Amino acid sequence: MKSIAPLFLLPVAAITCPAYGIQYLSVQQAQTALYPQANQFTENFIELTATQKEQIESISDVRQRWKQQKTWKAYKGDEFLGWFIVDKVIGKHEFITYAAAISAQGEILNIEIMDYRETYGGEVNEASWKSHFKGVDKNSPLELEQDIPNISGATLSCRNVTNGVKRLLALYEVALKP
Amino acid sequence: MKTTNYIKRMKPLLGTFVEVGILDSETKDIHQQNRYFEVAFKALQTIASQMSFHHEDSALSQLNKSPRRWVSLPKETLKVLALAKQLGEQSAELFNCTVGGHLVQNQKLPDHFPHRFNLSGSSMDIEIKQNQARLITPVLITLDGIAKGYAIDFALEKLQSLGVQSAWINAGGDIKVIGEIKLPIHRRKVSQTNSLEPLTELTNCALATSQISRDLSVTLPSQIVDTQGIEAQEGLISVATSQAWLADGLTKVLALLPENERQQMAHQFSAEYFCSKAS
Repeated sequence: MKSIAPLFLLPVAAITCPAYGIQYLSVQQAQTALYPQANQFTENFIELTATQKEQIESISDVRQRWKQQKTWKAYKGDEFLGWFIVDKVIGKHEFITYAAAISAQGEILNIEIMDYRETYGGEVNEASWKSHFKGVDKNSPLELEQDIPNISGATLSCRNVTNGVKRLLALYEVALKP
Repeated sequence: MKTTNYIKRMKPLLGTFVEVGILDSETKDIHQQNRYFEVAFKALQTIASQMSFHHEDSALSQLNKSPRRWVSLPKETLKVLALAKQLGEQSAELFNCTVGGHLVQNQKLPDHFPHRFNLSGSSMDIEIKQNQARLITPVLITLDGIAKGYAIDFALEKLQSLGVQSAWINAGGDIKVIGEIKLPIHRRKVSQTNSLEPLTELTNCALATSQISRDLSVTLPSQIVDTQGIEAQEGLISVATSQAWLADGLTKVLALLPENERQQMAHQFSAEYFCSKAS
C-alpha cells in the first residue's frame, strides 16, 4: 500500500454555505444511457390535475410537488420501449435531479443521477487545494457551483431518491398507464 | 490533476449514492464508456442484491432465515461471509457481523424472520464449507459496510478485467482508487454545520470513514453496535488500506478500541487511520 499523508495542517477559513454541484448527464445523455437501443424520444410533458396529484400522493405516500412532470416516450423504430422521466428530489439540502426509465408495463428499468448538489457550512480556503476543483485556479476566488469534491464520511442515505421513484410509479398508474 | 480529466456517473445503490469515475484517457468512445459504467454498476448491483438485509429474497436473507441448516450461497456472498468471519477472529470479535438481531430490535433493520433470533453472537457461529454456509445458532448476519466495500473492490476488478487501468468508486464515503489517479479527498463532518475538512490524496488505495455518534437521523441511519460494553468516543474515524471491504470493517474495529490500542491493530492489517472528534 502506498503511504498517504493526512492534511490536517492546512489553514482553514470558514466560508458561508458553499454549494457544490455536478452534472453527470444532460437530458440527451441520460436518454442514451437509459435507452441505448432507442432511436427516438417523443416529448410527452404531463400536466397533472389537483385530483391526479392527490391520487399520486395517496398511492405513494410521497408529495407530488409540481403540476408538470417531464416525460418522454422511448422508441426503437415503431417499437415502444418505455417511458423516460426526469424528476427532482430534495437531497440533504439541495435538489437532486435524476432520470428514470419505466417500462410499458410499469416496471423500473434503470435510474441515473443527472445532477447532484450538496451544501456545506464550512470549507477549506486553501489555494493548492482549490486548484483541484474544476474551473478554479489558485488565483480565483472560491465560487459556488463547482464540481463536488470527493467526500469520505458517514454514509448519506439515498432514501429521498427511493421515495421519488415510488412517486413516479404512482404517476405511471395515474397518468401514463395505457 | 483536475476533475475535468475524469468521466463520472452516479446511481442510487447500496442504500446510498455511488459514483464511478474513470480517467477520460481510458477511452474516448462513448459506447465503450457506457459499457464500462454498465459493467461497474452491474457488479455493484450484484453484490447489493445478494447481501441486502432489507430484501427478503436476498442470499443473505435466505441464510438468516435458516438457522442451523446448510444453505447454498453464491460465491461472492460466501467470500464476504468468510472475510467477515476472519476479521472477527483477527480483531478479538470487535468486528462482529452477527449483530443483526440488535439492529432489528432497535428497528434499524427490518424484521422478516418468523423464528426467534439471538441479538448477537460471534464469528464462531458461522460455518462455511465449499459453496454452503450454516449459522450454528439463530443469529442474524448483517454485512452492510463490508459488503459495500467488497462491492467496490469487486466492481473495480471487473473494470480492470476490461482493461481499465485508472478509475475510482465512491460508495457513500467508502472510496477506492486504482491506477494513475491522485484523488483529493475531503471528509464530511456531519454536525451542526455539515462542514468538510481536507483529509488526504488517495492513490492505489481504499479509504472508509465512520462517524461515531449518539444521535441517529434519517439521512444517517447507520449504527455501530457495541456488544462488549465499550463506550466508543464520539467522532470520525477514517481508515486507509489496500481493500475497501477491510477499510470499512476496520473503522468499526478501531472505533471500539481505546486510542492507545488503535495503532497496533491498524498495523496488524497494514492500515493507516485518522481520527477527529465530532464538532
